[in-house]
Amino acid sequence: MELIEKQQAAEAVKIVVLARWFFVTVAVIQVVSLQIIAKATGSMTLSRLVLLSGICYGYNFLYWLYLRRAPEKMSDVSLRTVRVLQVVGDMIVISMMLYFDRTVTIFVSAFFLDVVLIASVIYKKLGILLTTIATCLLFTVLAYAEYLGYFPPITALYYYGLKGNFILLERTLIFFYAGLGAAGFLSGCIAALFRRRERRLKEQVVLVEEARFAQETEKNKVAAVIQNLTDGLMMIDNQDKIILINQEAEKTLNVDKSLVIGRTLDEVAGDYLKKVGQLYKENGGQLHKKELVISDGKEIILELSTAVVVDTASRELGKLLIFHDITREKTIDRLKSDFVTIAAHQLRTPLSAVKWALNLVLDGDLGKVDARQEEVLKRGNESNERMIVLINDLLNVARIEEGRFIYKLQKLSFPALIKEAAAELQPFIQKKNITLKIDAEEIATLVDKEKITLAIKNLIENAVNYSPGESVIFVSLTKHQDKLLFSVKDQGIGIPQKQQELLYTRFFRGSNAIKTDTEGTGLGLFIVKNIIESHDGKIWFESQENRGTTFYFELPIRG
Amino acid sequence: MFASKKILIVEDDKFLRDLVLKKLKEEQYDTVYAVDGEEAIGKIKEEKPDLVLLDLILPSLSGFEVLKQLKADPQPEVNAIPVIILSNLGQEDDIKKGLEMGAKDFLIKAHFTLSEIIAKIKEVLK
Repeated sequence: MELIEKQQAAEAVKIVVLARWFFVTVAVIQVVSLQIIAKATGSMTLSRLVLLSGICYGYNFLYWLYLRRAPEKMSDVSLRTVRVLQVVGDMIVISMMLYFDRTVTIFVSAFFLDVVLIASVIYKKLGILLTTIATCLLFTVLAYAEYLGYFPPITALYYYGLKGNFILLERTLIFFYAGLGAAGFLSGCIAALFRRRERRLKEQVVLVEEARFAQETEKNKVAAVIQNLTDGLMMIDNQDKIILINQEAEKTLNVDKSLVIGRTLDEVAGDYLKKVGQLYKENGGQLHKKELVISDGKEIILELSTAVVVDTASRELGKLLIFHDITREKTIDRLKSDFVTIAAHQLRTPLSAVKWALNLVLDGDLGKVDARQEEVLKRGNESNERMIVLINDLLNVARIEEGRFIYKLQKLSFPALIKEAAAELQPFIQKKNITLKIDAEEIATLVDKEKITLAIKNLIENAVNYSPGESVIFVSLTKHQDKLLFSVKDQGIGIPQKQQELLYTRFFRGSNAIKTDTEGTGLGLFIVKNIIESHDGKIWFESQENRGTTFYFELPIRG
Repeated sequence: MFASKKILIVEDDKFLRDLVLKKLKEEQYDTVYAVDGEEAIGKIKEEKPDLVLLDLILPSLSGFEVLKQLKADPQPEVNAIPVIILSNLGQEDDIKKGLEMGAKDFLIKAHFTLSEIIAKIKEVLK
């Protein structure tokens, strides 16, 4: 038997032993009271009663002693024997009781019911059936014994007994079989019912156990993922208490898990965590890629973001703080832009030399230059100028990527900026015999002068570049509530539909643009977009191939 | 004719320096030059030019350092000398720093032709 079976068997026997203390006592009281009230003295003398009940109490005490042992220490054989004895022992005692009482038909025979009940507690269906049959057989034997006169004669006057009375014997037996059979059947049913319930309960326990295990596994998995994430993670509940922190966050913030869990961001020690708390408060509990610099000998740059954690019913459980270490990215960025800055400076020096030299010759400072020579030198100078522009563009891109592009905002008249840009482009516009029509409302706003001029210049320059000669370009500036709308409309080559999405990508150039003008850098619109967006504006365009393009930008009017 | 103005050009690149000198002579200016920061300081005190064309990236002392010393000089005929920075550094921080330190103008070499530079000099000397 397995341990669990032993435990259950011992438990059942224990119940029976406990019940026996009770029903033996009840039986004693019953016999005594019958003798007193009904004067059915019989041969059940006090000494016999004491003997019988003594036997009962005795073996019940032995069982009790046996059951005090731990179930795992009970041997299979001893336990089986004890189980069988529960029924057999009682049967014997009850038979003796009947014998001393001189008759099987009196109330005492009802004690056989107890045997069946005991069986239903201890055994399964078969055991109950066998016990019922055995009890019936025993009763039949006893009844026959009385019928045949083997029982001593009864002394009670009003009771005749079964002796020689076959009809009464028959009836008694039928009565007994029916009663005991019904009791056996019923208790079998009850036992089966309990067993079924027990089984179902067991199944449920198994299911619950499995579910719990699955959940536990899932939880462990999630916990492991969180713990081993390369980003720092911290969760705070709605009371701003820290309820979770992973290894990476502990490491970067230099805190110990046990000292922060359950505390609010204000309460915790640790300078870095305090900084985090401050930043969190300043931004009203919502962070999106906010940079936080902490230095512990070496500088660490963290990018902080928050995410709201909700349960399935969309209730807010708290917030997740995510720490992404961007030190390396930043270092590389810085190295890159340092490189670009230095390279640009170094490249500009020879270009300046070429520029100055060519111009010195072109200006005639070194003697007269004939038309053919001038033409070649001018071309050379133009190429050199383009190189200078390219380097400026590269420098601008590097600065955009460093995030320190917009420099100084001043309140300026926008139409004046447009005029300035147009004036700078005048030679270029005239060369293509293009008409530039400017229609600008007077609007003043806060801008970085150099950058906005660059953006306007770039857009007009593009329009001129990609327009046929002698066409018209319209520049307009209008005010819409608190925003200004600038547009440049040309009748040029347009942007192919398929390539429109890529337009603001660095170094991208439209396939038709490459054919028209071989010299563009593909950086202009990237820079323009960045200039407009860093002024909190928006840029867009409408274009049809071979019909023309209109570029728009919108800026908030401020200051 | 009025006495020609004396201009000090501080430039370490020989070719660039020669081009500027040629142009300045063409324009009838007196010219002096220095190839590094130390020499520039010496020439400023010695020659007391009417204007200094100053490069920023120089051997020994940087252009910023030269400008600082010039402006801090107790002699009024030294600290009042106008300085035009002529450099290929062009970051806004550098420009701002140069102008704040007292330079009259900040010209990015690659963005100006020599004629344009002369025009600026004339404007400053007016």
